[in-house]
Amino acid sequence: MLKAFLTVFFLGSVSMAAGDAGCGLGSMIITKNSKLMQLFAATTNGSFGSQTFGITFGTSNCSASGIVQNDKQIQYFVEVNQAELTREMAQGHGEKLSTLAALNGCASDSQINSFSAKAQSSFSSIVPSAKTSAVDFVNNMKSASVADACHGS
Amino acid sequence: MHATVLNLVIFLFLIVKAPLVWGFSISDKALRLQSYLNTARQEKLWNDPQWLALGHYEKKYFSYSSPFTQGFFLDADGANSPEKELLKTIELLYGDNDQRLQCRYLARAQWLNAILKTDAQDRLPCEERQLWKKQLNVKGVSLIFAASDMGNASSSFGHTFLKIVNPENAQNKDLIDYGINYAANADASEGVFYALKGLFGMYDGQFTMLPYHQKIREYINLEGRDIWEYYFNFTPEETDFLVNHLIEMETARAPYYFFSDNCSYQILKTLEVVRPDLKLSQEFRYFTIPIDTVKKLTGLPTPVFVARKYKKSLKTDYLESFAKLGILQKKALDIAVIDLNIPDDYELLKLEKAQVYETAMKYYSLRAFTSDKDYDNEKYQLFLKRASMGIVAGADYVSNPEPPEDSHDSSALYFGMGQSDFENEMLTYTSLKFRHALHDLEQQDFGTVTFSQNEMASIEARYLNTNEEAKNFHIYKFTALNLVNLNPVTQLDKNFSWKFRAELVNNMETFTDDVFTSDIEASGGYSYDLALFERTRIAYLMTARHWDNSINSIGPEILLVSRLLPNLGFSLDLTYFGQNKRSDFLRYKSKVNYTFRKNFDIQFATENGINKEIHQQLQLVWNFIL
Repeated sequence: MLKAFLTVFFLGSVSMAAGDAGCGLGSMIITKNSKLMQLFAATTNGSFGSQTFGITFGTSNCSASGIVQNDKQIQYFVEVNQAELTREMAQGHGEKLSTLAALNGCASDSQINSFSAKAQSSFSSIVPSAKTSAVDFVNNMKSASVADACHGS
Repeated sequence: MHATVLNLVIFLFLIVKAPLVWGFSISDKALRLQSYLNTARQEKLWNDPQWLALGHYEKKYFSYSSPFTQGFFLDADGANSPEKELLKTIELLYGDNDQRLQCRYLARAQWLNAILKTDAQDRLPCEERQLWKKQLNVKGVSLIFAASDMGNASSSFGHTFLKIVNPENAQNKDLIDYGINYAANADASEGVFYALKGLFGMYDGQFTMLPYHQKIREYINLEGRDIWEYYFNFTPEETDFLVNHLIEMETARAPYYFFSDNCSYQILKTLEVVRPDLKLSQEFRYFTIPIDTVKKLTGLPTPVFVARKYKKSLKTDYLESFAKLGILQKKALDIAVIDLNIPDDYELLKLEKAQVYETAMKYYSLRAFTSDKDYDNEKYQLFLKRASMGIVAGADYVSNPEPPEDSHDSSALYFGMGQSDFENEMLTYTSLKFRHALHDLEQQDFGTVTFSQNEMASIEARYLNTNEEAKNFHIYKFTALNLVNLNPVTQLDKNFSWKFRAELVNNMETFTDDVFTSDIEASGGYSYDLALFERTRIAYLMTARHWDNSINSIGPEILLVSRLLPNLGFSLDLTYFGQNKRSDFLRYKSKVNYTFRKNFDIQFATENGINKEIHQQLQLVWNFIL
């Protein structure tokens, strides 16, 4: 999943200049908990980040000032969180799924609940395969009209 | 035609008028600049706490200096001279040349405009910056604390960063707020060099901004660290000033030290820009443990936080879901993980079945994040099964753990008395030990890793009650590291447990000389949770030890750790050493820790020595923030 996610991201950002890949995403090093690193890191505070971009660096899906553009929020959020969103969608609840509902215009808790239920019942059409891309995920969600749930009471 | 005439008239007007207008304007401007500089000099504004905070200056005996030597100061000597930097800033921001610097140094300009009462003509509107800030719409700030990973002692110190809060995101969208992080521009794959370079400040530290959901993804999913959010009571003006300052820091670089000038230290310095009277950073000059900074901030006499929020990590979520499964559900989980399906002959209620699927889904999601395999297919099959069941109420849990700031403090002093039965002679002593960091195995362990020990940099001195010829005072032991990480084997995970200890011990055989020898011990194996008392874990380890200059030992070890009561911890450790120069040796060690109030423990420890002597020690432990 992780590799798929990164592949999708990098393919999506080939047009970007080198070293200029997303709001820091491209420069993000995926850290793994190796045994050896645990021991070394035990002597440090283990609190170093890996993003190397400045506050107002500009890039893909972000405005020229490092802020994610409003119309790209959903796409960006799905790209970053696709693995967890898919899991939460399957179980029909979760913080990231609620965020996705809110990004689609759901305001009240009942709207968010019906969004979550609708996303869950449309699961196999939104995520038709184990390798569904983030772009397809978002498009399929539109086709399934999941956001309609945000317009009821 | 008319336009041409009009242009000509305007042109002539400008030619005639210009020297007059500009002439006055230039001299006015120069005069105003001069008066700003005079005011600054008269009032010695460079000593103002606000100015010192804006430059992240630190007091060094008789002078000030700032670590941000690159990309920040306007005067060549600005990092070492608040005075030169202030005068240079006034000169450049309000002088002839690059007034646009006002938009680069928004917070400095804002403060100077107020304190120097600058003329409106000298102030730039900085529309572009204002537009950018309007888009962000920051109205509040939170401190984010990423706690330790439950199975990874290396993360014990935690991590802190800031979240800037847009109130429009309050309803379920706070994940799209932004995180502001101060971190080393480092490459963790450098291994040993990474640790060394970090210790000696060879990486550049810098501020970065990232969508909050993306920032916490590392912690919540990859590293299994829970998140605590603390919302500051800053006014909108204070919040705006903080954002202005963060913009100033965009290109600033400073050497990043893992232990001292680290993430949490510079976050404190940044908070002091908003409230210079906080003066917290000076308490963390040499060693900044993120959890300690959270404790200082939550413990201030005048509160700075108004709300606290908890986000559990995927790992916590998985472990909690697993722990709540019944016996039949756990059997079903075994099947679900292999067959990706729960057979119909398992008589589970719908809710119970949903819980099993969700636990299996979390299990594979966690594996996918922390290993090289993606488990896409396994996850997908389980997702389909669970999705087809529809909404099942009650499948989710709300947990309410103890907040990290309530845990015991990191450093400790141990006041002890003990006795050693040595060759039929009873020797008594009083002792004093200092532990720099962080946690003993038997101490209350919420806020840190369960059943772990992380002892770093300790020294113990003993005063012997002995006959006149012998020397009384001895440094007894230096401990560089004494780490225990018991990560239990569960139904689905074969986790690895380990211990490591490196000490210099005074063997004091004659009681007259101090002879120090190294004592290094490393163990690896597996541990299991037992359903005894509050919590109990037993570890089976293989242990190798090199000590007393030349003795090499190796053998099996059993370590039992138990929380008998919430405030009573106990350990029993048996190791059978086969040795190269001595006969075999069965070592037993045991310790009880009783917490009688926050930050105060009583410990009783007993251990046998290689010459069949018995050491016993009773200690009063006072935990505090150094």
